[in-house]
Order: sequence, then C-alpha cells, then structure tokens
Amino acid sequence: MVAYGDIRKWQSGPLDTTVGDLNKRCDELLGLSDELAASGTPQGWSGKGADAARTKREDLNNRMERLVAGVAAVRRAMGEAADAVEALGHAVRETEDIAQRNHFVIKDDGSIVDNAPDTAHDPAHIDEYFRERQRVQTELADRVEQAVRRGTDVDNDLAAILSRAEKGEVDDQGATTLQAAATAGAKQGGLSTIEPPKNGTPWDNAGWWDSLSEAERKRIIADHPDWVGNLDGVPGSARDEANRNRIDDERAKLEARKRELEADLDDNWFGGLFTNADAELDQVKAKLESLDKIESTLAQPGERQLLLLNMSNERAEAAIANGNIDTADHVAVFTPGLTSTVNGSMEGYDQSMSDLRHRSEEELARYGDGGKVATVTWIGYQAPQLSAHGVLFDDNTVLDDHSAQEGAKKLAPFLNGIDASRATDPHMTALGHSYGSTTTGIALQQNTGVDNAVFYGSPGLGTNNVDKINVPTGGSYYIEARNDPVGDFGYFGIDPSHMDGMNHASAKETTLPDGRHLSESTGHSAYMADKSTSQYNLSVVVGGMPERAVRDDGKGAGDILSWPIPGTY
Amino acid sequence: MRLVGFLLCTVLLLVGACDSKGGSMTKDEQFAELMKRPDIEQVEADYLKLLEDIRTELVSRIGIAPWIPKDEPITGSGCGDFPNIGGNVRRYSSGHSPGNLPDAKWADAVKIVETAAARQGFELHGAVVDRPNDHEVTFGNDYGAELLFGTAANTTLSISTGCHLTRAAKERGTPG
Repeated sequence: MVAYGDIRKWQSGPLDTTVGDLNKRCDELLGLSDELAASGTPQGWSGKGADAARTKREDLNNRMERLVAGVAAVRRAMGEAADAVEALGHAVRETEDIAQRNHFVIKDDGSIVDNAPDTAHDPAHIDEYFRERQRVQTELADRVEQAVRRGTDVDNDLAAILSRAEKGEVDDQGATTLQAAATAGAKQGGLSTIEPPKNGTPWDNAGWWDSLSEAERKRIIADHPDWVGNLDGVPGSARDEANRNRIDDERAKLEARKRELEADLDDNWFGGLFTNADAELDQVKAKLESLDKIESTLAQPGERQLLLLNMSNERAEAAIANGNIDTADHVAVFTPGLTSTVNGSMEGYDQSMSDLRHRSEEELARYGDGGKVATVTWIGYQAPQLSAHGVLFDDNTVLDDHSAQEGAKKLAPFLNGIDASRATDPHMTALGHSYGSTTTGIALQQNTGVDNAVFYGSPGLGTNNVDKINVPTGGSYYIEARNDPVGDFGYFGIDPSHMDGMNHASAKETTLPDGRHLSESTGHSAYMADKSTSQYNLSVVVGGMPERAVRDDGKGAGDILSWPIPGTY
Repeated sequence: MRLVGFLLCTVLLLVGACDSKGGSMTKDEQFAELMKRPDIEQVEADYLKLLEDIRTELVSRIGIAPWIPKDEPITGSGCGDFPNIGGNVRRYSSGHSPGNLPDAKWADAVKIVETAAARQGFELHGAVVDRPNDHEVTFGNDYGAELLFGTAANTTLSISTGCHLTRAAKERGTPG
C-alpha cells in the first residue's frame, strides 16, 4: 500500500512525458512495418538457407508484434495513470484546503492532527464547537482513506501492466501486422475502474468521486449509473445524470414484473385471495405511476435534479431538487410526513418547493445578497400511510416512530452528502412537516452540518430538548398554525411549542414593514401556501435571513392542554 | 387514550385539509375547468410577448436602463391547486433593469404596464409595497395569473401563470 505522503508528492507531468516518449517509440516501431515486410526472402531463392531465413523473419515478426503490443499497453496504462494522478492531485488539494481552512494538519502517514489555536470558547456553545471539529476530522480521515485506496489501486494496476510488458506477457492476440498488435496491446493496458467504497460514509464517497478522472466519471455514469445515482457525497449533477439514465431500466423491470403478476393472477382460480400477488401488483402499478410523476416533474421548465431513485421498497422513494444543489448558496431539504408518496405527492410538493425557492430568491434579491437557492423534496423513506393496514399492521404505522427512525438513518447521510460533495459548504436548512418533522428531528440528532431547521405542524421531534437538535444554537424554528391539533399532540416528544430555546415563527395574517400583506395559514396542511406568512418565514430562514422572520409563539387553546408537566418528561 | 386521540385527530385533519382552490371539485370538474382555459403553450407565447412589449416601452418611454435577463428566465411546476391531472404553472422573469425607477416617473410606468397588461386580461389589483424609492404593484386575471412590477434597488417585472393544461392534454381530452 502506498502512503498518503507518497501520494502527496505524485505528479502527472513525468507520466505525461513518458507517454510522449512511448508515442515516439511506438511510431518508430510501427514505421518498421514496411521495412520488415520488404525484408522477406528474395523471389526465386529456395532451399535450406531460404527456409531458415523465412523462419528467422517470422520469428522476428512475432517478437516485434509482442514488443509493439507491450509498448501499446504501457502507453495506454501510462496515459490513464497520468489522468488518474491528475485527478488524485485535485482530490488531495481539496482535502488539504479543507484541513487548512479548519486548522487541521494531515501527516504523511495519513493521521489527522487538530491544530486549532487555543482560544476561549463560550461554554454554552462548546458542544457545537467540538461537534463541528469532530465532523471535519471525520471528513478528512475519510478523504485521506479514499485517496490512499485510489492511489494504491492505480499503483497496483500500473505495476501489473509494466511487469507483464517487461516479461513479454502482453498478448498480440494473433495479430499479423504491427498495427493490429498495437491495437491488441492497447486493449490490455487499461487501468481498472475502482468501485465506490463499500458502505462508505458521504465523505468516503466524496473522496472516491473526487479521485476519479473526468473520463472515469463519465464512464461510470454511463455504464454503472446504479453505483452513483443514490450515493450520498457525489455531486447532484452526477447523481441526476445517473438516475435519469436508470429510469428506463427501472421501468422495464417493473413492466416485466407487472406482466408476471398479471399472468399469475389470470392463471389462479382464486385470483390473489391466497397469495400476495394482487397486493404486489398494486405496488408495481404505483411505482410505474411514480416514474411517470418523476419524469413529468423533471420535464418542467427550470433546473431539476433527480437526487434519489429507489424502487426496492414497498413504495417508490425519490428526491427532486428545484435548482442546483452543487452551486446554490442556500440549500433546503424538505421532508414530508403522513401519506406522502412519490406518485401521489411529488407533483404538489415540487410546486411548493418551486414557490419557496422563488420567494426566497426574490427576498434575497430585494433585501439580501442576491444568492441562489435550491429546494429539495425528499421522499426518501417509507412515510406512514393512512389505510387500515397501514395504521394497524404496518411496521411503518403513524402510531410508532419506526418509520421516522428508519427515515432518519437515510436523511442524515443525504444531508451530509450535500456538504461533502462541495468544496465549500452551502447554508443548509432542513424543513420538516408533520410526521416528516419527527423524521427530520431524529436525523438532526446526528451530526449533519445543517445550519437551520424549521419544523411545522409537528407531533414531536423525537426529543424533549431542543439542544439535542444538532444545529447551531438558536437555529431551530417552529411554526404552528391555528386549528392544527397535530402540532399540539406532543406524541413523539413534547409539543415543540413548549420547547425552551426554540424560535417561534408566525402563521398568522401579517403586514410586513414594507407594506406587503401575507395571508394566514390554518389547519395542518397549508403551511407552504404561496404568499402566506408561514411560507414567508420558511423563505427567509432558507435564504439565511432569519432576522426577517415574523415571530409569534402560535400558542392556542390546544397548547394549554399540551403543556408538559415539569418533571414528567 | 392519547394514541387514539392522535390517530383520530390525524384522520380528521387529513379528510378536512383539502381546502385549496381545486380541492372542492372532483377530478373531472377540475379537468373541465382547465379545459375552458387556453393551453400553456398559448399562454406562454402571449405572456412572453406581453413582457417583451412592456420592457421595451419602459426603456423607450420612461428611460430606465436596459433589462438584464436572468440565468433561468422560465421556471415551472405542476399545479398544487389542481393536483394530479397534468396541469402546469409557469413563472416568467424579466430579470432586472439596474437602478431605481424614480418616484416621479412611477405612476407613468404603472400606466404603461396597466395598459399593456389589460390586453391579456390583467387588472390592477393594487400596491404590494408603496413607499419612497420602493414600490410594487400586482395585476391578476381570471385564470389566477399574477403580474408583478416593482422597483427598489432595481426594477423587476414577472408573471406567474395560473394552472393550464398542455396543448396535448387538451387534444387528448382526459386527465393526464
């Protein structure tokens, strides 16, 4: 295995120079082709001497063909190694930049040393200081690990090809001309494509992706889109391209399964009475509808990114960004709750996210720094459903936090992946509505790098303590509308209306200082209505202008009933 | 008890939550309503022409700076008001004309916009913001479209359409 310190010193220049030299040598050898042909036995010469000369020349021909094949293999290997070393150099520089910006030092053995200057920290914020240090240190360790893995892979591949060429083991594959031998040799000189790390963290995945050359990335998106489409830590543009490449394959698989199930049901006298074929057929049809909804959403004007596409569970899972998560200054990820499905909900939520992005950018243009915003609808989990089966018999029932816990395990790396995939972190906001706020609340108890959280109409955040929500102190907001009893239930933790340290934003009718009039949102499902106060509040937090939020504790009669009794939670 | 209450409450809320514009109509009624409206391709052509006319007139008659287009001048999505029947909304941005449109010329500028917008059925709905060096007016039409014209640090102009079917959906005559 090569050491990180070795990789640091690697340069693609000498490899490129070698490729140039090999090109010349290869051309010289190929130029001998005519001379070799002309050196045949003269016409009319026969006998033992002529036979010996012919044998000698054929032997020379064969040796030349193997030599040319070997040179061609090494030439290609050197070229690809030069590209790989160039890409690896970029990855190392990005890792070193992150280390330098955050006062860490990476030693030649790959160990990470915290080199932050001794400064006094506010004791109230010391936990979040160390949490962020830990997060950066983990990122650096993972990136170093991937650089070493990639470097070792390139080194092994190149050494193997050089060794085979040296031993004359590069096969000319029966070539009868030097040109054909060169083509055969080149085919054997390609470096292997390194797969993503197994069970990698978002930083492992980002480190792996950064270490690939542009040609390798294109090849992976075209030939192995399933490697990267859902891989947290890979840039949104690459995930989008890969996932769009997967849609036709997923549709074909579902169509084939649909035909099988329909045939099974047709052949069975009892239909689906004693099997699950009819239930599975309904699921397959819903997934096909989900693909239609995804495609129609992606076809809408304006930039969209398909960041997640998963058909392997009972219901389809997908995440679609409005805007570009790779370049936006502000990125928001919205997690919806009960009854959310891709086929039934994506269209409406995408419009809400489109409106939110527009309002936030408008606010930034008018009063902020003119920054760009991307808003993501994340239906990346099996949200609870409201059917009798869904409530009473499903593991993912709304009566239990199982679905939220499972969803949080996927949401947290998705959030980290957005930061990990970029050289500079955007301002990130997590938005959670209803049961989706429980999922979001549990996810944010991990170390996600999210800067702000807005929960609305929440039955509980999976904790009674706002300090467990790992965003910078004062970065959590709660909105509760009039006549929204879900927000008073405190079922998965106390009612967030009563959480100490939580900011409370308004859902009431408002006139802003500039004269703009905003409408009230009432009930459980109108928080994102366009031109409402609650949507405005979401937009200013998403745009990094929380000081513009309209405050209100949103407390009503329901909050008196939901008041937690001290000592009982 | 708390569990039963939570469940009951959630069911009631979800049943009663459908209070958006199209929510009180059946799917067929929603589609029939959209069939009465022009298709989104026609709307797009009409509104883009309207915006172009307004921009040109504002530059030539009011003397504001030439418009700087936005990177992404057209965005869109499905319709939340008429869900799952294949409707579309669009948002057309004119970018911005750098600088503030002076208060003394604001009324004349609004008149120019109002006259042009009336040709597409837009009526002035009133001022959103109205204070020195900071103005915005809104216009609407019967299809739920909104035209916004304002000035602060820069002058801006945009239209958000109401919900419209595509030409193909109208020809097909059934929800998508």
